[in-house]
Order: sequence, then C-alpha cells, then structure tokens
Amino acid sequence: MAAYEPIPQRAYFKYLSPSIIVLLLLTVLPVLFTLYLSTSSLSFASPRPERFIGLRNYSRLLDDARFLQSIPVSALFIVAPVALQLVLGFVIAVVMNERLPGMRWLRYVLVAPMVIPPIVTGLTWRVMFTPKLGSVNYFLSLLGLDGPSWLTDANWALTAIVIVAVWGWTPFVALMFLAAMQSFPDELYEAAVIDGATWVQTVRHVTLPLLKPTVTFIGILRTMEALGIFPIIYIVTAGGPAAATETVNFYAYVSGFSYLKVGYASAIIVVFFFMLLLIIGPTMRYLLRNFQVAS
Amino acid sequence: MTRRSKITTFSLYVIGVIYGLAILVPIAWILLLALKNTLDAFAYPPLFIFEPTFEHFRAIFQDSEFRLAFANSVIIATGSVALAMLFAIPATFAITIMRGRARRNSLLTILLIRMVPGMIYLLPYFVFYSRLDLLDTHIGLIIIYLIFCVPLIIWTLTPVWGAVPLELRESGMIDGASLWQILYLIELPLVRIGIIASGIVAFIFAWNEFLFALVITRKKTVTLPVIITRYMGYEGYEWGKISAAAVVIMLPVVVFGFLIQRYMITGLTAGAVKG
Repeated sequence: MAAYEPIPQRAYFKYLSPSIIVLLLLTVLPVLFTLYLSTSSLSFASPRPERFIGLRNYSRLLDDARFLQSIPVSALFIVAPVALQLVLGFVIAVVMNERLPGMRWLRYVLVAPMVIPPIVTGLTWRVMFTPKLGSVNYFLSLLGLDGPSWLTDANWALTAIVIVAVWGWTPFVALMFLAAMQSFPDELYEAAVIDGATWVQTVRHVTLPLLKPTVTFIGILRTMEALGIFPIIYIVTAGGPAAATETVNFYAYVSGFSYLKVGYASAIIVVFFFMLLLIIGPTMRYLLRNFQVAS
Repeated sequence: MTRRSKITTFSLYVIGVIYGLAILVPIAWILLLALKNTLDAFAYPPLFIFEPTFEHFRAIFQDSEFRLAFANSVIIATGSVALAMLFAIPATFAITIMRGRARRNSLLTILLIRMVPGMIYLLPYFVFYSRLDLLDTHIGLIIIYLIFCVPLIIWTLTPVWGAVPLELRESGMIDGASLWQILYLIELPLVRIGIIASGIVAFIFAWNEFLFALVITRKKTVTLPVIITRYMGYEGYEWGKISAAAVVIMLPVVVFGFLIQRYMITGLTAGAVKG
C-alpha cells in the first residue's frame, strides 16, 4: 500500500478507461452477436434473408456425428500436448538451470519456436511428415524403424498434431519454469546440501514443490490456448483424414467458411464458448485466490 | 546446489543436446529445402551436400502477389502496434499506480481477454465487416488485432514501468506539470526500452496471425501467412516456393525474438503465484 497519495487514483481513470472500453466493445459485442446468429438461419450459400429459427441449430448439433466426434478430439488436443509440454518443459528447465558449461546456446534455440508463425511451424512439420521430402521417417529408418504413413492414418495424424504442438510450445513452458526456478531462495538448496540430499532428491523435494504454483498457472494458460489450436491443424492435416483431427473450433470454421452455414457455425461457437467458460470459471477462482503481482 | 554425480551431468548434457537438435533440425530442414532444386528436394536418402540455388527466393519475389503480401504484413503489423500503443501506454501508466488487488484484477482481466481463442470472434466480425464494407481492408484487421496487441503491450510494459519510482509523479506535480505532461515528457523516455520490447512482442503477434487474416482478407490486403497457403493450392504443392516463403516470413520475427528474448517472458513472470 502506498504510504502517501497526493494524486488521487481517480485521476488515472481516464488513462485506463479507453483501453477497457475498447477491449470490452471489441469482445463482448461479437459474443452477443454470435448468440443472436446462432438462432438464425443465416447462410451465405442461400439468397433467402435470415429468419429466427429458435434453437433448431442446436438440436441439429446433437444429431451431427461430425460435431460429436470433434469434442473428444478437442479434449485430446488439450490434455495430451499440455501434459507433455509441462513434463518436458520441467525437464528442460532443470537442465538449463544447472548452467552447464557450453550449453548457453540452448536458451537462444528455445526462442525460435516461440516466435515462428504457427503457420510456418505447421508447414515445416507438414514437410517433415511428407514421405521422401521430409525427414521424420528418414531418421526413424536410421534407427531401424519403419515410419508410419503419418498423415493418412487417423491415429498417426492425431499423434502428428500432438508432436507439433509439443514442439511449438514446450520452449515457452521451459523458459517460464526456468524464470521461476531462478527466483527460488538459495537457502533451501544450501539446507538440502547440509542434509546430505543427492541432486535427484533436491530436484524432487525442493525444486518441484516450489514450482507447483507456476506449473498450475502455466498449465492454465496453455490449456486455454490449446483450446484454440487452429493453424497447425489447418496446414498439417486440414482436419483429415476423414475429419479425424477436427476440433470443435475447426469444425466451426469449416461449417462457417467452407459450407457457409453461418447460423449453424455460430451455434457450434456458442458450445465452444461454454467449453471455454468451463475452463475459465475455476481458473479465475483459482487465480483470484492465489495470484499476486509484483509491485 | 548439491553436487551432481558424473552420470547425472552426462545425462543432462544428453537431454539438452537431443532436445536442442529436435528444435533445430526441422528449421534447418526448411532452410535446406528452400535452397534445393526440385530434383534434389526429393532425393532419397536426403541430400545434405548439394549445389544451392536461389531460384525459389527469386520466384517468390518476382511474384507480385507475394510482394504485395509482404507490404501488407508490414503495414498491418506496424499499424496494429501503433494503434495499440495509443491505448496501452496510458493504460499502463494508470496500472503502475495501482497496488495490490486493484492492480492484480486489472492485469488478470486483460490477460484473460488475450487468452480467449480468436475463433470465438471470427464469425461475428466476418458478418459485421461484410455489412460495414470492412472486409479486405487494412484497418479492419488492425482493429481486430487490438484485442490481442493491447493486452500484450500492457503485460510486457507493466514490469518495466513498475520500476520507475512513483516519487517522480509527485515531484512533477509539485513542479506544476499535468499528468499528461508527466506521462509524455518525464516517464515515457524512461521506459523506452519497454516500449520497444512490448512493441516488438505485439508486432510478432500481428505478423504471425493467421486465422483472422485468412477470413478477413481477400485480394488487396492478403498477408504473408495467408499467401503461403496459396502455394499449396491449384498446381500441386510448390515445396520450393513454400520453403523459401517460410524462411522469409520467419526471418524477421526470429531476429526480433533474439533481440528481446529477455522481455518476452517477463510480462508473465512478473506475476508471481503464491504457494
């Protein structure tokens, strides 16, 4: 708390309010408009004017096998990549935190996947998975393994997307964990030395418990972003084979912009929005209870 | 730190090197592919030594659509940063005086807005814009990018600005300066590193954005991430052009990323989480 306050905080209101107003207008209005569209028959493919059709778009969703299939795909593309990113990110952060001589370059290497456009990440891996052109199966053959046909087999296509998501986002997780580890108090590590703990014990019983809140926070951030995965699917598998890698938001895109069924796509978006709220609700409650900003 | 056994140290090196290679190999692969002629590209086993060619780079820069996309990307990314700064700078100025709960709640709300997947807003903007004649305009995309750029700038700038002592504002007031004058004449020059870093973070976002660009642009304002997908179209996949274009698109952001890598994560690490 500031001890003195000759400038009233109210004076700052006009500096903050333009941002808040613009952000709210740009986000709340579209959401409300989506709710409206989801009850309309609007389609860009039909010249007929839109009319109100109540919840018919929603009831159609329940019979749409392609939509129902997209829900577990969305769930898979959240759970698998985020879990792998957290585990691998922790391992890499531990490695980097040891400041091994000759390993500084790793820090710079990690920046690349964070800034490369997702569309380029997708293209790169599309190439890597393409037979002859790419190298995934070539490297597997060096190990004596027979590489699968990645993009035409449903299970391998799902695996491919998970691999790309892990490649693209683990560096961010690792750097966040590393930043947290570097702020841990030295005394705890000195105490571990005095107690005769081995290196592995120190990592497990000192570093890991201290990192737990950061793991939760980053896990939440990654989960929300993983829900919106799009460019990678668009480029690597285009949702295929046979819609096997289509997430809820990808199917919404296809319905709206390939089939031009705006009303129907809006209904999918509304469902997607409620999935998001399921994540945001508990998240906000957790953050409001446990999150502190440095000031 | 406790002493590591030799085996542990060795394992850490192995993990680090393998992971580093796993990141680098795909990027290097695209680089090589961009420099190979079509015959070499499909050689099996892959060629690591070959005569490099710049034909693909020449081809994409001779393509007027690609040159236009490059210009559009520069205009839209720069415009997004400039417009977002107009909102984000005063907002950060206000946030830095907040303490405790007020500051945290403002920052969390702003973070939340950025984290919402763009797909939620895509359809309504498409319908809005088709009725307002904003499809295929620069300003149309720039307005949408405010949703993401303003929060990105505020989050990256707040920790830098938070290090400026608040006493400056008090003494500025005593000298008769208005809050606006304190903001622009006294404090803004002090946080210029933060302005540059946060501007680059927002630029990278706008430069990379794909989903909205795909739907909102048509012909005149197509950006680089969209144009690259067109090389996957009608005449089969033109892998040489695709790789060359990928290199051209990622080069500026990778350079920017190296320059500001220190700041890229400060925005989020500044918020500490209680145990």
